[in-house]
Amino acid sequence: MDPLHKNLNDRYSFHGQDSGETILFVIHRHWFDILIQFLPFLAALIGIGIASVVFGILFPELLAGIDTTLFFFIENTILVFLWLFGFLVWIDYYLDVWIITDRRIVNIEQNGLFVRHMSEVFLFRIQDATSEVGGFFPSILNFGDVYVQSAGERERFRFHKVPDPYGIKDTIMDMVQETHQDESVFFENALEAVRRGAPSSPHSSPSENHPGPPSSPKRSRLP
Amino acid sequence: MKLLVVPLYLLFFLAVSFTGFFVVFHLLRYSVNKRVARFTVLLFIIGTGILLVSNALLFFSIPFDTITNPLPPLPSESQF
Repeated sequence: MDPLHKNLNDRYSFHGQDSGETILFVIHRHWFDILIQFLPFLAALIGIGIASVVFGILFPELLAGIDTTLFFFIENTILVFLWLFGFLVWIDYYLDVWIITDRRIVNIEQNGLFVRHMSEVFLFRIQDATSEVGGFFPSILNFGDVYVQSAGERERFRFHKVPDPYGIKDTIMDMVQETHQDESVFFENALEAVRRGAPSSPHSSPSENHPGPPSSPKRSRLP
Repeated sequence: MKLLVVPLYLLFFLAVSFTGFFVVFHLLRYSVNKRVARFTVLLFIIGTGILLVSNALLFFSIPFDTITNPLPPLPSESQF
């Protein structure tokens, strides 16, 4: 399938999506970020497992002073906390998402359970994009930050710890360039039509000489 | 001792249930991929259910009446 004309609308949707708007890319933080956050949980799980084996099977006499049921109840309670906090970490990771559509970039950030930020920037307002990769693991695993400079109130838009930041930056700039090229061709043709004195209706259908408003992007370097 | 511990345990149970409800709410409402949302919610409900049920069973199996002093008794002075 041509990745340039892919449509992820059948798999993804977000609050505030316009009718007719096509989702092209859905980007989460790199898997290494959530792996680092899960390491303490994994260590605690391993500790609980070792404690169960050591006290329950190998050296049960060490539990002679306390009730076995109480010991396993405490272990189970720790597991409940680990389970809940694990899912809170997952929510914080999975609900942080950057969505690139054919019209705009949407940034959704979830901080904890009750704090959620959503911002967007239209492609035609983007001025430039910068990618940044710093550190040993980011360099080896190819993840980092992408900054998008716009003309809006929020001048700098940030993709945080995303995979393939160079590819994302190139794709955004290609999309922005296509948008601006389509815009300039549209206005040039409209101006030419006005000079010739031809009636220019805003509702006229796009043709070879009048391509119409900016359309969806033609090229993409992201898979 | 049981009269003191049971209300505390109920408070813990309610807090866990409350948090679990909001985890499910956020996954269902804010996930961009509904299939992943349904899978993770199902996984969460099953896991939480198993853990809470086992936790409650263990709690009510604890012999609170006999656990008055978890430490072993100290040797008496008359032994020396």
